[in-house]
Formats: sequence, C-alpha cells, structure tokens
Amino acid sequence: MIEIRNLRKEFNHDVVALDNFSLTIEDGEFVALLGPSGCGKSTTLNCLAGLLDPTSGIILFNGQDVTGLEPRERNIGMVFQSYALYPHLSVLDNIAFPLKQKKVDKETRYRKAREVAKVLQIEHLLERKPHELSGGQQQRVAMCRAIVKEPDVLLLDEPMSNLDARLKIEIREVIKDIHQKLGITSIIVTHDQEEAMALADRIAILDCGKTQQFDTPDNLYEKPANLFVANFMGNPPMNFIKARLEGNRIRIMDSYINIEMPLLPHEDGSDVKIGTRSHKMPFSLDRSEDAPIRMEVRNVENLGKELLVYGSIGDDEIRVSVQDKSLYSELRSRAGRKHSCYVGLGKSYNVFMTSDGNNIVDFKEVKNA
Amino acid sequence: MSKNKVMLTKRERKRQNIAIAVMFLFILPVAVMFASFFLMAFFKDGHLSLENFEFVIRPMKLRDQTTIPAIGKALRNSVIFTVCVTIMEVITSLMAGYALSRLDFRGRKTIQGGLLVLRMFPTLLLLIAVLYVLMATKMANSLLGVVLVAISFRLPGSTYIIKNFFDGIPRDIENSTLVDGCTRFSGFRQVIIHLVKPGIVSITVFSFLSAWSNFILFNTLLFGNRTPVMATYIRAITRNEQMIASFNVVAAMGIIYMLPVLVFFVMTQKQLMEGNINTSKGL
Repeated sequence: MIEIRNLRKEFNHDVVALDNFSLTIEDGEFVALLGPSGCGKSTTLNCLAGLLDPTSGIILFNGQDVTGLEPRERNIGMVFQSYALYPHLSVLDNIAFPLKQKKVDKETRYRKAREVAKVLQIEHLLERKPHELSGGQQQRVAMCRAIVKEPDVLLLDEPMSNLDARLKIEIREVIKDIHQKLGITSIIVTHDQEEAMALADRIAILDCGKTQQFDTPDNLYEKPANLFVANFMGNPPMNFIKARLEGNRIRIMDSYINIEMPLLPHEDGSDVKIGTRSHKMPFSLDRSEDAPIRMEVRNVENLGKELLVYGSIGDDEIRVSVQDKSLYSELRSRAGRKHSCYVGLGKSYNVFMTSDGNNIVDFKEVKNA
Repeated sequence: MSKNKVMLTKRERKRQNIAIAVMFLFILPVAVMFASFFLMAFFKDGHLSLENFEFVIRPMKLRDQTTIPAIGKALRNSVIFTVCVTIMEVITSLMAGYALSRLDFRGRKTIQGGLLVLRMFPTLLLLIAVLYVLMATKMANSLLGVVLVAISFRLPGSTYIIKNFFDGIPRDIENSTLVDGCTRFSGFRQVIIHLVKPGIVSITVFSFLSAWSNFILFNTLLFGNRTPVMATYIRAITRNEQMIASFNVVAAMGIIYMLPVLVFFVMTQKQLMEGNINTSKGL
C-alpha cells in the first residue's frame, strides 16, 4: 500500500507544484494520475520515485516512511517518457542493468533478462543497440528494464506520448497484460484520458497541484465531482448548457423543464450549468415533451454508426448523437439554412454550480445510476 | 559517418574535381615546406643519413664550436608535463562540468558566467602576475608551478566545453540510473561518462596539443636551464649567441618534437571526428 500524506512541493520557493496532496493506493492497484500539463502529476511521480524531495509531507510504502530514502533504496521500477535507455549498452545489458547494480551474478541476471524479454516479445532484439530499435520496441525494452528486478511499485511517466496512435494501443495492451500477470502496484502519469480510462482501476484527476477527484473511471465519467473533471473526461466532451434553477424546475433560455435529478441543498435561483453526454440527450426535429429546448443546427457529421449533430443553445456549443441515420439529409439542409431542431436533458445529467463549479446532484439518491 | 556512399551526378562530379584541384593548389606550398623539412632532416652533405639525429642518444658537437646536450631530459620533462596537464585538466573539467550542468548550488550562475569571461580573457596578460604569485608560493622556476598555471589557464575553456556535453544528456537517463539502483557516482561511471565520450576525446586532444606545444609559459616561468623541455631545448640552439646555422639539426629536432603529436592524432582522429560531427557542441 502506498500512502501520500499532505505532500507539498515548491520550486524556487515560489512556484507551488503540489499543495497538501494526499492519495492512498492499494496493493496491486493500477492508478492513473491524469491532468493537464503543469498540474503536478509528474512531480508526484518523481516524489514517489525519490528523484525529487518534497518540501513537506510524507510518503509511506507499506507503512514504512520512505520520504528520505534514495531512489535505489525504494525498490521501484520506472518507465520514462523518453525511454531513457542506455545507448552504449546492448538491449540485453540494458535490461540486466538494474540486476547488475544489485550485484546479481552474470548468469542469473542474463537469464532473468531473457525471461522478461520473452514476456514482452523482444527476445530477437537482445543483441542490438537501442538506436537500432523502433519507438515501440524501445518502449518494450524500457518496460523490461523496469520490471526485471521485481519492483514493489511500477511508475510510468507518460510512457506512450512519443508513440503513434496504433502503437499506443499496442503498448497499452502490453502494460495491461504485465500488470495482470505480475500484479505490481502501478502508477501511470498521463494527460490522455482515454489511456487512463483503458488502463487504470482508479484515476486521480489533478489540477493546480490538487486532487479534483479520485475514483473509478466509470464514476468519473458518470458522476464528475465538478466542472473540471467533467470537462476532462469523455470524448466527445460533455455538453454544458447555462441554466437557472427556479423552484423544482430548470430554466434554459425560455424553456422550463422539471428537475429529474435529486439535488443537494442549494439556493433557489442559482445560476448553474447543466452537463449532459451527447448520447443521453433526447432529440427530435420538432418540439416535443422529451425535447423542449430549441437548438440551432450548425453542422452534422455521419460517424457511421450514428450522426453527430453540432448546434448551439444560446451561446453554448452542443453536440448531440442521433441514432436515426435517415435524418442525415434533413439535418444537412437545416444546417445549411440555420434552422432549428429540439433537444431535451433526458433522465440523467449533472448540475454544476456556476459559482464554484461543484456538482450538486445528490448521487446517493440516484436510483440505478 | 554514414557508410552508404552518396551518388553524385555528372555535374556534381565535375565540380568536385574542381574543388579538389583548388584544395590541392592551396596545400601545395605547405606540402613543399614539409617535404624540404624532411629532406633537411634526413640528408647530410648530400647523402641519406641519420647523423642529424645524434642528439637523441648523446650530446652532439656542432662544427667543433658548440655542444648540444642530449635530448633525453627535455623530452622526459615535456612528457611528464603534458601527461600531468592533460590528465588533471580532463579530470577536473569533467567534475566541474558535471557539477555546473547537473547540481544546483549557490554561486553556480556566477561561476558559469566567470568561465565565459575567463575563456575570452587573454591569459598571457596575466603572466607577470602569475610569476609573482609563483614566487610568493615558492613554486617559481619549477615544473610543478608551470603545470598548475597551464591547467588553470585552460580549465575554463575545457570545463565549458564538457559542460555543454553534459547539458546534452537527457535528465531521464540520469534519473533512470538512480532508479535502477546506482548512486550518483556509479551512474556517472557506468553510463554518463560513456555518453560524453566524444567530449572527453575533444578536450583530451586539445589539452594534449596545447600542453605539448606550450612555449610562452616555459619561456617566462622557467629560467636558467635547470628544467629543459622540448620547446626551450630547440630554442636554446637557435639563439643568436650560438651563431650556429645547422638547419638540418633543427629540422631533425622538429621531427622528434612532432612525432608524439602525430601518433596521438592518428590514435584519436576517429573519435575526434565523431565527437565534432555527431554533437557539434562546444569548441
């Protein structure tokens, strides 16, 4: 178990990268640290590795305080963004390098290196030098080197950001496989929400050195704690519509809609933003009970399995998925003439306070969410 | 460095030939000088002989007027000097360059700026002051004193060069060695030093050359003939009062003086070219 307690990291005495950051990671869990660049996720990882000394706060590995320990005393494996292979050593020597530092005898360390190389399917490359490998192969070597010493914790620092889209998916599978086989507690840093969703058991979303939400991918997607998280998760991104809460109704432009979701106590007449997923919005060409909000159609895309309609409600840009593909030509012509169609909020949506961005839907009261 | 040959078009080949011709034209005078130099050294009174090299093994009489001492002592001093200066300079600048590139300490910026200023400063202007310092520390007229001065004069330049090489190594690689179980020093020894090899070769070569061909320092800081070195040895026999004009002997000495440099260059040429082409840093 890894515990981070009240971690704070300042650079040059004025830039605060991490502020009172706490996180608990269970044994064998795969956790992703997700956030925009400069949010402190790499700083957290480097503090865990011991490459950076935190300004204050402590880090515990299995109850033992490791805050003051050197990286080599922590038994961690790390994969770097740039792979950081040693260019003057062969692939085999690269993989065996951590064992050499542990004074493992030559025969054993080469045997172990070959074993992990086999797992990651790079046996045929062992005699080559790193510069003779492709990006994906280098990444595999870096993975081998990180896991060969059977570390307690595996740290991955944006391991896929230098790869092209197809290789990304391939390496993603490799990482997932390795984690399943070895059950090492793993922490990955990434700015790609898709990657985080695919790999992690739980995701911590960071912004400005603070955790915004630490939860399972599903909960982050369905029950974002605030606007920042909602904005970050999901593709296409969530739609946000300006609205006002009036009694038990929501007012959007000139339309009133009954509130379907249980809400936490709030002030009547508050300005809010309604957050909905594009595929959860009812859609119809004409005003109906389900779809009472007028939306100006700007464009429509045929994605093959569905249509994606771009439109606007007031100033808010909206995307709506439409299953009925026969509407394509009709929507095309409406988009050309700047005509409207109608959408609704459906049965499940989020309500964010405009003032602080927090989600005020009371998820405890939501049935079968 | 690439092994695949570049195919030239006809026109390019024609231009290449012109370029070669022009280069040959420029090199010709130098080549003629070198040739006559060798001829002078290896011919005496019109026939091939090694008599001009007599000073290599024993004191040599020149036309019954002057005797030149054997070269042994001067050669030994020069070798000691060069080896000391090169080794010390490389080790010191490696450590200093690493610290400046990687560690964060008070005054780092100042030192870095100071290096540049010192590098640009004509060190010869300091000679008189240096002599006073050496006299005060009782190191004047000793080889040790000159060694120290030679190292300190060259240190800013080579530190700056090697620092640039260290700057070029990604942080990740160093962090990786730390995570993989190295201490900073063992990581440096096992990985980092291999990555700055071209840099080490460059500063070694230049340090060696400048130490071997140093003249001003010896001429100023070593007086009397107590500690002869190659540079002052050759000068001694061409002084006006000797009034000898055996250019053949001078040429022979020149060849002896040149030999170590030649050998050293042949040995390091490959790495040197690699260093300069692959990284194009420093210098």
